[in-house]
Amino acid sequence: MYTRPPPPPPNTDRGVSTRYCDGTTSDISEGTEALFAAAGWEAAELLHEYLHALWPDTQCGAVKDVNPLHGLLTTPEYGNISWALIQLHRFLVAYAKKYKRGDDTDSEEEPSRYKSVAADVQRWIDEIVVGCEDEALHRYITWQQDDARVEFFSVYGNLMHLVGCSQPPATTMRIIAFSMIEGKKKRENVAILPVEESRGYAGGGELSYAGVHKYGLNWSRAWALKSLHSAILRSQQSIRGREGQEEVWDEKQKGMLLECWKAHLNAGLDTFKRIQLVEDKEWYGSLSPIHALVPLPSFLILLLA
Amino acid sequence: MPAEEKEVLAQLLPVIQTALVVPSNVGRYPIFDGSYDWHSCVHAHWYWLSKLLTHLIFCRATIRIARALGQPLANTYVAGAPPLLVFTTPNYSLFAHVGTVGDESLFHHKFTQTNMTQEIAMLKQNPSFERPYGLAWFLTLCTEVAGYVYQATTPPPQH
Repeated sequence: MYTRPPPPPPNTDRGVSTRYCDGTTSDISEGTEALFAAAGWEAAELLHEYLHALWPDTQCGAVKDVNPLHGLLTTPEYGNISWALIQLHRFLVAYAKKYKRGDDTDSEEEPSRYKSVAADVQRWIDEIVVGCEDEALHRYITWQQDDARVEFFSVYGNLMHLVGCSQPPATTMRIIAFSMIEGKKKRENVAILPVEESRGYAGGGELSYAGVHKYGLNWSRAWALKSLHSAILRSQQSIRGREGQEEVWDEKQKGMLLECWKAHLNAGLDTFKRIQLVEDKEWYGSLSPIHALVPLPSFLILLLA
Repeated sequence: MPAEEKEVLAQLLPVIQTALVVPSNVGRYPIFDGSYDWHSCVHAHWYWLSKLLTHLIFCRATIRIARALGQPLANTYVAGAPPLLVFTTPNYSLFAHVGTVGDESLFHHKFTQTNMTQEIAMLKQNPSFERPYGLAWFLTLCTEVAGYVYQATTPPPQH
Protein backbone atom coordinates (compact mmCIF):
# COMPACT_ATOMS: atom_id res chain seq x y z
CA MET A 1 0.00 0.00 0.00
CA TYR A 2 2.69 2.47 0.91
CA THR A 3 5.97 3.10 -0.73
CA ARG A 4 8.97 2.74 1.50
CA PRO A 5 10.32 6.20 2.27
CA PRO A 6 14.07 6.51 1.98
CA PRO A 7 15.82 9.32 3.80
CA PRO A 8 15.48 12.75 2.23
CA PRO A 9 18.09 13.55 -0.37
CA PRO A 10 20.92 15.88 0.59
CA ASN A 11 20.02 19.45 -0.07
CA THR A 12 22.55 22.23 -0.26
CA ASP A 13 19.85 24.88 -0.19
CA ARG A 14 18.43 23.94 3.20
CA GLY A 15 17.56 26.99 5.17
CA VAL A 16 17.11 29.27 2.22
CA SER A 17 14.19 29.79 -0.09
CA THR A 18 13.14 26.80 -2.11
CA ARG A 19 14.21 27.00 -5.72
CA TYR A 20 11.64 25.57 -8.03
CA CYS A 21 12.31 23.49 -11.07
CA ASP A 22 11.55 26.43 -13.34
CA GLY A 23 14.06 28.66 -11.60
CA THR A 24 11.71 30.75 -9.49
CA THR A 25 11.83 30.83 -5.72
CA SER A 26 9.28 30.85 -2.96
CA ASP A 27 9.17 32.06 0.59
CA ILE A 28 7.94 28.67 1.67
CA SER A 29 11.41 27.44 2.41
CA GLU A 30 12.54 23.94 3.07
CA GLY A 31 12.89 25.03 6.66
CA THR A 32 9.18 25.73 6.72
CA GLU A 33 8.45 22.46 5.04
CA ALA A 34 10.58 20.64 7.58
CA LEU A 35 8.78 22.41 10.39
CA PHE A 36 5.38 21.24 9.17
CA ALA A 37 6.63 17.78 8.30
CA ALA A 38 8.03 17.38 11.82
CA ALA A 39 4.83 18.72 13.35
CA GLY A 40 2.87 16.35 11.14
CA TRP A 41 4.83 13.43 12.49
CA GLU A 42 4.19 14.54 16.05
CA ALA A 43 0.47 14.74 15.34
CA ALA A 44 0.48 11.42 13.50
CA GLU A 45 2.20 9.69 16.38
CA LEU A 46 -0.16 11.20 18.93
CA LEU A 47 -3.11 10.01 16.88
CA HIS A 48 -1.51 6.64 16.41
CA GLU A 49 -0.91 6.30 20.11
CA TYR A 50 -4.48 7.35 20.85
CA LEU A 51 -6.06 4.94 18.40
CA HIS A 52 -3.74 2.15 19.41
CA ALA A 53 -4.94 2.44 22.99
CA LEU A 54 -8.58 2.48 21.90
CA TRP A 55 -8.47 -0.42 19.51
CA PRO A 56 -10.20 -3.54 20.73
CA ASP A 57 -7.97 -6.53 21.13
CA THR A 58 -9.75 -8.77 18.73
CA GLN A 59 -9.69 -9.96 15.18
CA CYS A 60 -12.36 -8.55 12.95
CA GLY A 61 -14.65 -11.22 11.68
CA ALA A 62 -14.26 -13.33 14.81
CA VAL A 63 -17.15 -11.56 16.43
CA LYS A 64 -20.42 -12.21 14.73
CA ASP A 65 -23.02 -10.63 16.92
CA VAL A 66 -21.27 -7.78 18.59
CA ASN A 67 -18.81 -5.74 16.67
CA PRO A 68 -16.19 -4.24 18.97
CA LEU A 69 -15.31 -1.69 16.34
CA HIS A 70 -18.82 -0.38 16.39
CA GLY A 71 -18.19 1.99 19.26
CA LEU A 72 -15.23 3.60 17.57
CA LEU A 73 -17.32 4.56 14.59
CA THR A 74 -20.63 5.56 16.07
CA THR A 75 -19.45 7.86 18.80
CA PRO A 76 -20.32 11.53 18.35
CA GLU A 77 -18.40 13.45 15.75
CA TYR A 78 -15.46 14.58 17.83
CA GLY A 79 -14.88 11.08 19.13
CA ASN A 80 -15.34 8.83 16.14
CA ILE A 81 -12.28 7.73 14.28
CA SER A 82 -13.29 7.97 10.62
CA TRP A 83 -11.88 11.46 10.06
CA ALA A 84 -8.68 10.61 11.92
CA LEU A 85 -8.09 7.53 9.78
CA ILE A 86 -8.59 9.49 6.58
CA GLN A 87 -6.06 12.10 7.63
CA LEU A 88 -3.54 9.58 8.92
CA HIS A 89 -3.71 7.74 5.63
CA ARG A 90 -3.39 10.98 3.65
CA PHE A 91 -0.35 12.04 5.65
CA LEU A 92 1.39 8.71 5.16
CA VAL A 93 0.75 8.74 1.43
CA ALA A 94 2.12 12.29 1.15
CA TYR A 95 5.16 11.29 3.16
CA ALA A 96 5.78 8.20 1.05
CA LYS A 97 5.41 10.18 -2.18
CA LYS A 98 7.81 12.83 -1.06
CA TYR A 99 10.60 10.44 -0.31
CA LYS A 100 9.85 7.95 -3.03
CA ARG A 101 13.13 6.76 -4.47
CA GLY A 102 11.86 4.67 -7.29
CA ASP A 103 12.85 1.22 -6.10
CA ASP A 104 11.02 -1.17 -3.86
CA THR A 105 13.85 -2.78 -2.01
CA ASP A 106 13.63 -2.97 1.73
CA SER A 107 16.14 -1.01 3.63
CA GLU A 108 17.18 -0.53 7.20
CA GLU A 109 17.08 3.16 6.52
CA GLU A 110 13.32 3.18 6.59
CA PRO A 111 12.19 5.18 9.56
CA SER A 112 10.77 2.88 12.17
CA ARG A 113 8.03 5.30 13.04
CA TYR A 114 6.74 5.23 9.48
CA LYS A 115 6.77 1.44 9.53
CA SER A 116 4.94 1.33 12.80
CA VAL A 117 2.24 3.88 12.00
CA ALA A 118 1.70 2.72 8.41
CA ALA A 119 1.35 -0.90 9.48
CA ASP A 120 -1.27 -0.07 12.06
CA VAL A 121 -3.22 2.24 9.78
CA GLN A 122 -3.29 -0.47 7.14
CA ARG A 123 -4.42 -3.00 9.71
CA TRP A 124 -7.15 -0.71 11.02
CA ILE A 125 -8.47 0.00 7.55
CA ASP A 126 -8.43 -3.74 6.89
CA GLU A 127 -10.27 -4.51 10.08
CA ILE A 128 -12.92 -1.88 9.65
CA VAL A 129 -13.75 -2.06 5.99
CA VAL A 130 -11.73 -4.48 3.95
CA GLY A 131 -11.77 -7.65 5.98
CA CYS A 132 -15.10 -7.17 7.62
CA GLU A 133 -17.44 -6.92 4.73
CA ASP A 134 -20.99 -7.37 5.85
CA GLU A 135 -20.11 -8.90 9.18
CA ALA A 136 -18.90 -5.73 10.76
CA LEU A 137 -18.99 -2.43 9.01
CA HIS A 138 -22.05 -2.70 6.84
CA ARG A 139 -24.06 -4.36 9.51
CA TYR A 140 -23.84 -1.40 11.84
CA ILE A 141 -22.93 1.61 9.75
CA THR A 142 -24.99 2.61 6.76
CA TRP A 143 -25.81 5.67 4.70
CA GLN A 144 -29.20 5.68 6.30
CA GLN A 145 -27.72 6.26 9.73
CA ASP A 146 -26.87 9.77 8.68
CA ASP A 147 -30.53 10.50 9.21
CA ALA A 148 -30.25 9.76 12.88
CA ARG A 149 -27.21 11.93 13.45
CA VAL A 150 -27.00 15.65 13.79
CA GLU A 151 -23.34 15.87 12.96
CA PHE A 152 -21.47 17.23 10.03
CA PHE A 153 -19.78 14.18 8.62
CA SER A 154 -21.36 11.12 7.17
CA VAL A 155 -19.44 8.42 9.02
CA TYR A 156 -20.22 5.79 6.44
CA GLY A 157 -19.37 8.29 3.72
CA ASN A 158 -16.01 8.95 5.33
CA LEU A 159 -15.24 5.26 5.45
CA MET A 160 -16.27 4.76 1.84
CA HIS A 161 -14.04 7.66 0.90
CA LEU A 162 -11.22 5.98 2.77
CA VAL A 163 -11.87 2.81 0.79
CA GLY A 164 -11.94 4.70 -2.48
CA CYS A 165 -8.62 6.42 -1.89
CA SER A 166 -6.73 3.68 -0.07
CA GLN A 167 -7.65 0.41 -1.71
CA PRO A 168 -6.78 -1.04 -5.09
CA PRO A 169 -9.68 -1.01 -7.57
CA ALA A 170 -10.48 -4.69 -7.19
CA THR A 171 -10.84 -4.40 -3.43
CA THR A 172 -12.85 -1.23 -3.74
CA MET A 173 -15.22 -2.88 -6.16
CA ARG A 174 -15.66 -5.80 -3.82
CA ILE A 175 -16.48 -3.49 -0.94
CA ILE A 176 -18.90 -1.53 -3.05
CA ALA A 177 -20.60 -4.78 -3.86
CA PHE A 178 -20.79 -5.69 -0.21
CA SER A 179 -21.95 -2.31 0.94
CA MET A 180 -24.77 -0.32 -0.41
CA ILE A 181 -24.69 -1.01 -4.06
CA GLU A 182 -25.58 -4.61 -4.41
CA GLY A 183 -28.08 -5.40 -7.05
CA LYS A 184 -29.64 -3.14 -9.61
CA LYS A 185 -32.34 -1.94 -7.31
CA LYS A 186 -29.90 -0.87 -4.64
CA ARG A 187 -27.69 0.85 -7.15
CA GLU A 188 -30.63 2.90 -8.26
CA ASN A 189 -31.44 3.71 -4.67
CA VAL A 190 -27.95 4.95 -4.09
CA ALA A 191 -28.08 7.04 -7.21
CA ILE A 192 -31.05 8.84 -5.78
CA LEU A 193 -29.65 8.96 -2.25
CA PRO A 194 -31.51 11.96 -0.94
CA VAL A 195 -29.57 14.98 0.11
CA GLU A 196 -29.71 15.75 3.78
CA GLU A 197 -32.11 18.41 4.93
CA SER A 198 -31.06 20.64 7.72
CA ARG A 199 -31.83 19.44 11.20
CA GLY A 200 -30.82 22.11 13.63
CA TYR A 201 -30.04 21.42 17.21
CA ALA A 202 -32.66 22.36 19.75
CA GLY A 203 -33.20 26.08 19.47
CA GLY A 204 -31.42 26.31 16.15
CA GLY A 205 -33.27 27.17 13.00
CA GLU A 206 -32.52 26.02 9.52
CA LEU A 207 -30.27 28.97 8.86
CA SER A 208 -28.45 28.81 12.15
CA TYR A 209 -25.02 27.43 12.82
CA ALA A 210 -26.59 24.02 12.51
CA GLY A 211 -26.60 24.64 8.79
CA VAL A 212 -22.91 23.87 8.92
CA HIS A 213 -23.87 20.36 9.80
CA LYS A 214 -26.08 20.10 6.77
CA TYR A 215 -23.55 21.12 4.21
CA GLY A 216 -20.83 19.16 5.98
CA LEU A 217 -22.95 16.04 5.84
CA ASN A 218 -23.79 16.52 2.19
CA TRP A 219 -20.23 17.33 1.23
CA SER A 220 -18.79 14.39 3.08
CA ARG A 221 -21.26 12.18 1.24
CA ALA A 222 -20.27 13.95 -1.94
CA TRP A 223 -16.56 13.20 -1.64
CA ALA A 224 -17.36 9.60 -0.79
CA LEU A 225 -19.54 9.22 -3.87
CA LYS A 226 -16.86 10.84 -6.00
CA SER A 227 -14.20 8.51 -4.62
CA LEU A 228 -16.36 5.50 -5.36
CA HIS A 229 -17.19 6.78 -8.81
CA SER A 230 -13.49 7.31 -9.54
CA ALA A 231 -12.76 3.80 -8.31
CA ILE A 232 -15.41 2.37 -10.61
CA LEU A 233 -13.93 4.24 -13.54
CA ARG A 234 -10.44 2.97 -12.69
CA SER A 235 -11.59 -0.57 -12.41
CA GLN A 236 -12.12 -2.61 -15.52
CA GLN A 237 -13.62 -5.39 -13.49
CA SER A 238 -17.22 -6.14 -12.95
CA ILE A 239 -18.64 -6.24 -9.48
CA ARG A 240 -19.22 -9.64 -7.98
CA GLY A 241 -22.14 -9.49 -5.63
CA ARG A 242 -22.46 -11.11 -2.25
CA GLU A 243 -24.10 -14.17 -3.68
CA GLY A 244 -21.53 -14.53 -6.40
CA GLN A 245 -23.54 -12.99 -9.17
CA GLU A 246 -21.66 -10.80 -11.56
CA GLU A 247 -22.85 -7.27 -11.98
CA VAL A 248 -21.66 -4.73 -14.43
CA TRP A 249 -21.98 -1.01 -14.08
CA ASP A 250 -23.24 0.37 -17.33
CA GLU A 251 -22.76 3.97 -18.38
CA LYS A 252 -26.20 4.96 -17.22
CA GLN A 253 -25.58 3.64 -13.73
CA LYS A 254 -22.21 5.32 -13.52
CA GLY A 255 -23.87 8.52 -14.62
CA MET A 256 -26.45 8.20 -11.89
CA LEU A 257 -23.75 7.90 -9.27
CA LEU A 258 -22.11 11.01 -10.66
CA GLU A 259 -25.41 12.85 -10.62
CA CYS A 260 -25.84 11.83 -7.01
CA TRP A 261 -22.44 13.30 -6.23
CA LYS A 262 -23.40 16.57 -7.90
CA ALA A 263 -26.70 16.71 -6.03
CA HIS A 264 -24.94 16.47 -2.69
CA LEU A 265 -22.32 18.97 -3.71
CA ASN A 266 -24.94 21.48 -4.79
CA ALA A 267 -27.06 20.90 -1.71
CA GLY A 268 -24.05 21.79 0.42
CA LEU A 269 -23.35 24.88 -1.63
CA ASP A 270 -26.94 26.07 -1.38
CA THR A 271 -26.90 25.75 2.37
CA PHE A 272 -23.62 27.53 2.57
CA LYS A 273 -24.84 30.48 0.52
CA ARG A 274 -27.93 30.85 2.66
CA ILE A 275 -25.83 30.86 5.80
CA GLN A 276 -23.72 33.62 4.36
CA LEU A 277 -26.80 35.76 3.91
CA VAL A 278 -27.84 35.37 7.50
CA GLU A 279 -24.61 35.27 9.41
CA ASP A 280 -22.29 37.17 7.15
CA LYS A 281 -19.86 39.08 9.31
CA GLU A 282 -20.55 37.24 12.52
CA TRP A 283 -19.33 33.86 11.49
CA TYR A 284 -15.79 33.04 10.54
CA GLY A 285 -17.17 30.55 8.11
CA SER A 286 -17.72 33.52 5.87
CA LEU A 287 -14.23 32.88 4.62
CA SER A 288 -15.99 31.83 1.49
CA PRO A 289 -14.83 28.59 -0.10
CA ILE A 290 -16.44 29.83 -3.29
CA HIS A 291 -13.73 32.42 -3.48
CA ALA A 292 -11.09 29.73 -3.13
CA LEU A 293 -12.43 28.01 -6.19
CA VAL A 294 -12.12 31.07 -8.39
CA PRO A 295 -8.54 30.47 -9.59
CA LEU A 296 -9.03 26.75 -10.09
CA PRO A 297 -10.77 26.75 -13.48
CA SER A 298 -8.14 29.10 -14.84
CA PHE A 299 -5.45 26.91 -13.38
CA LEU A 300 -6.86 23.84 -15.04
CA ILE A 301 -7.05 25.67 -18.36
CA LEU A 302 -3.41 26.60 -17.95
CA LEU A 303 -2.44 23.04 -17.26
CA LEU A 304 -4.22 21.90 -20.37
CA ALA A 305 -2.54 24.60 -22.34
CA MET B 1 -40.28 42.04 37.40
CA PRO B 2 -41.84 38.95 38.91
CA ALA B 3 -40.01 37.48 41.84
CA GLU B 4 -39.33 34.26 39.99
CA GLU B 5 -37.69 36.08 37.15
CA LYS B 6 -35.60 38.11 39.56
CA GLU B 7 -34.43 34.91 41.17
CA VAL B 8 -33.51 33.37 37.85
CA LEU B 9 -31.73 36.52 36.81
CA ALA B 10 -29.85 36.61 40.07
CA GLN B 11 -28.61 33.13 39.38
CA LEU B 12 -27.77 33.83 35.79
CA LEU B 13 -25.98 37.12 36.28
CA PRO B 14 -22.86 35.69 37.88
CA VAL B 15 -22.65 33.17 35.08
CA ILE B 16 -22.99 35.87 32.45
CA GLN B 17 -20.48 38.11 34.20
CA THR B 18 -18.06 35.25 34.53
CA ALA B 19 -18.42 34.52 30.86
CA LEU B 20 -17.67 38.12 30.04
CA VAL B 21 -14.55 38.36 32.14
CA VAL B 22 -13.15 34.96 31.31
CA PRO B 23 -10.34 35.58 28.89
CA SER B 24 -10.99 34.23 25.45
CA ASN B 25 -8.77 31.73 23.77
CA VAL B 26 -6.54 34.53 22.56
CA GLY B 27 -3.14 33.92 24.05
CA ARG B 28 -4.13 30.56 25.46
CA TYR B 29 -2.47 28.63 22.68
CA PRO B 30 0.66 29.71 20.84
CA ILE B 31 -0.80 29.48 17.34
CA PHE B 32 -4.40 28.35 17.25
CA ASP B 33 -5.92 30.87 19.59
CA GLY B 34 -8.33 32.95 17.58
CA SER B 35 -11.51 30.90 17.54
CA TYR B 36 -14.06 29.62 19.98
CA ASP B 37 -12.32 26.28 20.17
CA TRP B 38 -8.93 24.94 19.19
CA HIS B 39 -9.97 22.71 16.30
CA SER B 40 -11.98 25.53 14.70
CA CYS B 41 -8.88 27.67 14.71
CA VAL B 42 -6.83 24.82 13.26
CA HIS B 43 -9.16 24.26 10.33
CA ALA B 44 -9.51 28.00 9.76
CA HIS B 45 -5.72 28.10 9.38
CA TRP B 46 -5.84 25.04 7.16
CA TYR B 47 -8.36 26.77 4.95
CA TRP B 48 -6.31 29.96 4.79
CA LEU B 49 -3.10 28.13 3.96
CA SER B 50 -4.62 25.81 1.40
CA LYS B 51 -6.12 28.84 -0.32
CA LEU B 52 -2.77 30.57 -0.26
CA LEU B 53 -0.93 27.56 -1.63
CA THR B 54 -3.48 27.04 -4.38
CA HIS B 55 -2.89 30.59 -5.43
CA LEU B 56 0.87 30.09 -5.42
CA ILE B 57 0.58 27.06 -7.67
CA PHE B 58 -1.62 29.07 -9.97
CA CYS B 59 0.92 31.92 -10.09
CA ARG B 60 3.73 29.53 -10.92
CA ALA B 61 1.73 27.98 -13.74
CA THR B 62 1.16 31.45 -15.16
CA ILE B 63 4.88 32.17 -15.08
CA ARG B 64 5.54 28.95 -16.94
CA ILE B 65 3.00 29.81 -19.61
CA ALA B 66 4.40 33.30 -20.00
CA ARG B 67 7.87 31.89 -20.52
CA ALA B 68 6.67 29.27 -22.95
CA LEU B 69 4.94 31.94 -24.97
CA GLY B 70 7.96 34.20 -24.76
CA GLN B 71 5.77 36.95 -23.45
CA PRO B 72 6.48 39.34 -20.61
CA LEU B 73 4.53 38.26 -17.58
CA ALA B 74 2.81 41.60 -17.44
CA ASN B 75 1.19 40.84 -20.79
CA THR B 76 -0.05 37.44 -19.77
CA TYR B 77 -3.61 38.04 -18.83
CA VAL B 78 -5.23 35.35 -16.78
CA ALA B 79 -8.73 35.77 -15.53
CA GLY B 80 -9.00 35.58 -11.79
CA ALA B 81 -5.45 36.59 -11.03
CA PRO B 82 -5.17 40.36 -11.26
CA PRO B 83 -2.12 40.53 -8.96
CA LEU B 84 -0.12 38.75 -11.62
CA LEU B 85 -0.37 41.73 -13.89
CA VAL B 86 2.15 43.60 -11.78
CA PHE B 87 4.87 40.96 -12.04
CA THR B 88 7.83 42.03 -14.10
CA THR B 89 10.73 39.92 -12.92
CA PRO B 90 11.02 36.15 -12.67
CA ASN B 91 12.50 35.88 -9.20
CA TYR B 92 10.11 37.69 -6.96
CA SER B 93 8.58 36.81 -3.67
CA LEU B 94 5.31 35.18 -4.57
CA PHE B 95 3.92 35.78 -1.15
CA ALA B 96 4.28 39.51 -1.59
CA HIS B 97 1.74 39.45 -4.38
CA VAL B 98 -1.00 37.39 -2.93
CA GLY B 99 -2.51 39.98 -0.68
CA THR B 100 -5.95 38.82 -1.60
CA VAL B 101 -5.45 35.46 0.03
CA GLY B 102 -2.98 35.87 2.80
CA ASP B 103 -0.31 37.78 4.56
CA GLU B 104 3.21 36.49 4.44
CA SER B 105 4.21 38.21 7.65
CA LEU B 106 1.28 36.62 9.47
CA PHE B 107 2.36 33.20 8.29
CA HIS B 108 5.95 33.65 9.39
CA HIS B 109 4.93 35.34 12.60
CA LYS B 110 2.65 32.53 13.70
CA PHE B 111 4.33 29.42 12.40
CA THR B 112 7.66 29.65 14.09
CA GLN B 113 9.69 26.77 15.47
CA THR B 114 9.06 28.01 19.00
CA ASN B 115 5.30 28.34 18.59
CA MET B 116 4.98 24.99 16.91
CA THR B 117 7.06 23.32 19.61
CA GLN B 118 4.89 24.86 22.30
CA GLU B 119 1.70 23.85 20.55
CA ILE B 120 2.86 20.26 20.29
CA ALA B 121 4.07 20.23 23.88
CA MET B 122 0.61 21.37 24.93
CA LEU B 123 -0.94 18.51 22.98
CA LYS B 124 1.40 15.99 24.56
CA GLN B 125 0.72 17.27 28.04
CA ASN B 126 -3.03 16.96 27.56
CA PRO B 127 -3.67 13.47 26.23
CA SER B 128 -7.44 13.89 26.06
CA PHE B 129 -7.36 17.28 24.39
CA GLU B 130 -9.04 17.41 20.97
CA ARG B 131 -8.43 13.76 20.17
CA PRO B 132 -9.02 12.48 17.68
CA TYR B 133 -10.96 15.19 15.82
CA GLY B 134 -8.87 18.33 16.39
CA LEU B 135 -5.62 16.47 16.16
CA ALA B 136 -6.68 15.06 12.79
CA TRP B 137 -7.27 18.60 11.56
CA PHE B 138 -3.83 19.60 12.77
CA LEU B 139 -2.40 16.70 10.80
CA THR B 140 -4.37 17.86 7.76
CA LEU B 141 -2.81 21.29 7.98
CA CYS B 142 0.71 19.89 8.32
CA THR B 143 0.22 17.57 5.35
CA GLU B 144 -1.05 20.45 3.26
CA VAL B 145 1.98 22.65 3.81
CA ALA B 146 4.65 19.96 3.84
CA GLY B 147 3.18 18.39 0.72
CA TYR B 148 3.07 21.66 -1.17
CA VAL B 149 6.81 22.05 -1.44
CA TYR B 150 7.09 18.58 -2.92
CA GLN B 151 4.51 19.43 -5.53
CA ALA B 152 6.15 22.73 -6.40
CA THR B 153 9.72 21.48 -6.56
CA THR B 154 9.11 18.34 -8.56
CA PRO B 155 10.16 18.86 -12.17
CA PRO B 156 7.42 18.38 -14.75
CA PRO B 157 7.53 15.11 -16.67
CA GLN B 158 9.82 15.13 -19.66
CA HIS B 159 8.22 13.97 -22.88
